[in-house]
Amino acid sequence: MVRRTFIQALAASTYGVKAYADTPVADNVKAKNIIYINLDGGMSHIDTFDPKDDKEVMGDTEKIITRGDFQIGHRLPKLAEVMNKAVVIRSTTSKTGAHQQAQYLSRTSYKQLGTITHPSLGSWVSHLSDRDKAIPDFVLVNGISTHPGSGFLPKRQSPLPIVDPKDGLKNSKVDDKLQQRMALLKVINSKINAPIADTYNEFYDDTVRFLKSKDLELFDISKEPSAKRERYGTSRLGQGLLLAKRLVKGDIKFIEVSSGGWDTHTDNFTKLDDRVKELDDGVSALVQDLESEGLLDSTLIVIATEFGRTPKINVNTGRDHYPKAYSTVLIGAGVKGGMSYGETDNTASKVIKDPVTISDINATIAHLAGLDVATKHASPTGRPFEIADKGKIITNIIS
Amino acid sequence: MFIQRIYININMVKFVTLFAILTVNLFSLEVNHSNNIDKIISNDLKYKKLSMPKKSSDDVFVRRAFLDIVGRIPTYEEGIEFKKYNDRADLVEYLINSQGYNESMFNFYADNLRLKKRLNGNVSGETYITWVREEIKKNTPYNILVKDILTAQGTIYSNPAVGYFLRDEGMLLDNVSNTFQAFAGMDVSCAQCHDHPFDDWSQMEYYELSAFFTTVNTRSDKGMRKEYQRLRKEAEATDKAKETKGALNEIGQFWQQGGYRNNVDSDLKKVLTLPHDYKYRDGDPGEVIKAVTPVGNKVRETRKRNKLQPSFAQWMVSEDHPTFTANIVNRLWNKAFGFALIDNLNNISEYDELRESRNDKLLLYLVDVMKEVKYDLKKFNSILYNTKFYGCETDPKDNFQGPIMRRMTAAQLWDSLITLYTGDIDKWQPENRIEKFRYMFPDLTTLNSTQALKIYKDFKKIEKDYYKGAPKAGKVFAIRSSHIFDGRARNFMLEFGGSDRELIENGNQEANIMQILTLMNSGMTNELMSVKSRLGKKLLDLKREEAVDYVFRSYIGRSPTKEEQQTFKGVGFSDIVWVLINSHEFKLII
Repeated sequence: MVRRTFIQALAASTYGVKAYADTPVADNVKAKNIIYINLDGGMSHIDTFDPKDDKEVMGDTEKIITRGDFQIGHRLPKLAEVMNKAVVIRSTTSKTGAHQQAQYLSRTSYKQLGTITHPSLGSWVSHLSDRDKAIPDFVLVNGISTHPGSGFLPKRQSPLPIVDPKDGLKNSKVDDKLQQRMALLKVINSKINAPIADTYNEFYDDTVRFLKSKDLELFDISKEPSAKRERYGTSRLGQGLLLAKRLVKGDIKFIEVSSGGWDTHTDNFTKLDDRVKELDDGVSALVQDLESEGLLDSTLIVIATEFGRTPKINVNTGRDHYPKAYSTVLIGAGVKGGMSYGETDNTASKVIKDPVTISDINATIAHLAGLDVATKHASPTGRPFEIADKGKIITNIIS
Repeated sequence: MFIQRIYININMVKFVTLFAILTVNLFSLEVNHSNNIDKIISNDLKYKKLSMPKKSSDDVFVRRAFLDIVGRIPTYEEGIEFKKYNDRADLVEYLINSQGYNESMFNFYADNLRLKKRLNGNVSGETYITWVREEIKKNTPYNILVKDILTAQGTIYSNPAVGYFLRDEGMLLDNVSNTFQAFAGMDVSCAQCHDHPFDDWSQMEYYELSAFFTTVNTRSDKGMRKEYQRLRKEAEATDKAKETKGALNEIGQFWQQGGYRNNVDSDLKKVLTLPHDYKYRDGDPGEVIKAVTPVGNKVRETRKRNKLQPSFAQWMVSEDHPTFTANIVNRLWNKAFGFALIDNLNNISEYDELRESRNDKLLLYLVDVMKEVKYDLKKFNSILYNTKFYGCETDPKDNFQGPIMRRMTAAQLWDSLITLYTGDIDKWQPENRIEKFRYMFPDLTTLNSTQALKIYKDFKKIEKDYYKGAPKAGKVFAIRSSHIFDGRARNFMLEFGGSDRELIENGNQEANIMQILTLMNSGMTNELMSVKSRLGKKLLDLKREEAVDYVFRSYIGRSPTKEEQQTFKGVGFSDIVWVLINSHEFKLII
């Protein structure tokens, strides 16, 4: 395992980070795989997971019953059917109301600074469960360019980007001349004897193996029957979730799927008709699929967003940024199903019970993934950081 | 011997003349320094019972010198030309005085200063970028450059160096941390929010330092807001009358991009106070903090508050600053040899003392040399690249036995691929448009909104023309990494670990599978594999063995061995190119 040694040495010398000491204990792992859905722009909590009776607050959104002990917005009829597997956290609260800073915070648990980049949750999971695979344990579907990625962790923990789920992994076509070229490459490469050359030899071997393996097919959603593809919806979110499900089957640990267009300053309700339908179609299909394949018990689905939206409907029939109270949903592995946690007041504008911070949510996810959230990890310049910045695990929602 | 050379090749005339001027200086002083550096290193190796590394072959040296000094591999022709002269010092001087050196140094500064096309607050960074480029071209001494940056005032057009403050506009404390990291190699950012956990920096000291910059105002409008509001009203009226669309928005852009809003000047009344959650005994929340430098020769705030910035800048670049000189020495050493003398580059000291280095005697000597050459980076680099140690075989194991064997940086890789593609990567240069922009935006009082909108329209058009005449390879610009700030080519560099320029020197050379897929299958690889490519066309007139030799030398800087000629018999051009692009010898600096 030359590469392992090399990387270990690199991690030790360059990063001062213990690369392997923190491998999770298998018994603690409730969520073997995580699908983290990130709704960019700020999802209205009021119109989705935290509806109220007050008509002035609700606009045209109505409540519907679910298979859990709570109600949700009428644009989520299919998700209502699977809420018995979900915990809806209605008491998420933060102070950051600007998109980029809030997205950074929700991915890393830390405030964005100009002097360091903190690792995103996916990179922590991938790093600490280091499994020395050809492809990273963190895939980012429909991602944004400002994603903090691996932060100060080794760059190999950066997410593997999938720009469009329909196109799969870029530059991954297999040329029929590959074999012959690789043979020639071996001849010419044999001249260089050095640890770094060994590293690249391994990377090339891994890559070729990957290109020939069934793993490559994991990235190709055209392999799915068209009826199934349609069930997820044709949106990038839906297709991204279908891709995520395939990747879970291939045992990729952390898949983040982004969906844009949630910044509904104008025409909140018409816009949500489309956005929420995509979410409803995609996530409900995902839950049912994972369940029928026996994977829901080991897969955690997270629906997260950077902040909620104002209870007051503005002059453009829109809602503005609102970090003070919003919702986060966890479905599947390790969480109690059919429950809501925390509470906002009757206009959904203030948390009145069990407030949780982003750090608490990330600590809970990390804990379910089997990571120790209390351990301190050193950045390259030796500064100590925790996975979820002192976040507290929300034990009441864990099954 | 120089005269003889002039006859040998007229192409080299320019550089030989230049070289002759430099020679006097070089042999008296700088060679001496290079020799002393070698002596210090060999003594250290002797002490550790290690041997001095072997001299590298000329082919290897040429390729490495090109990569390190001008940021790209040599072309076939350049490689052959050197082989004829076979004088390493000549080559080093030639490269250091070529445009490629400026481009390579631009990348060095760009990663250090976090240069972006858009500064914070979305002001165009173009003039700042151009200014840095020009300063490198002039070889402005490093200490003066830093001083100019830290004392800059004006608009992004009247004094583009203000780009440094505008980069962190509205984030005084972050800017102070960045200043320390970039120019002093000190990581004090912890103390921004609390006492440093294991270094001596206290939060109080951090605030005392930051107080030097309290008076820096990055949002001055020189009292022009009234005029702006007048223009807004006019624009609003035309919007309402449906005469134009979006005029109000464009007036806002005009105000911002015209440098009316982001003047950097001094607000002498501004003070810095401790944060509301300050928790230490040495101060109270809300207390006004006066500027003091904690390390080095103490400089304090005086009654003349307009002296705050200059006195800090003077303190920062003074010869007895504990880390200023060591910081730049360490970074330049790292660029040349692939390893830092003090690791990590951004954190070279513990409080006011330098951390232990890989060779303390060498570091201190280099610090003296830097002072002696008066921060002339060309001279300093020339001394480094003229050491025998630089000309040795690389050390694959990082034992201080030669420059380290490493992968090219993302920029070196990109610039090498483009060199292969176009043959002359420095032919295209962007225009210096500082003056053009400066005179575009007149005094606001003289304008009505129609005129302002017209100026903004012109500005947008000119801004877009930055890449006028730049060559393309498929869909990407086939130009130097130093001119690329966004788009596909930028993504290529990010994939190979190029710095995102959010943080100081944030690049890396780690491998990942996406890079390998890119080298195997990307559009750029396919362009180079085409028989219609520049190289492909050159081979038409060559015999088989010569052709293979030409391709090998072009990509990996050496001829194929007899066995390799044998192995590649019958292999097509495209396949040879694929193999070479993916070979160790291509992407590694051997």
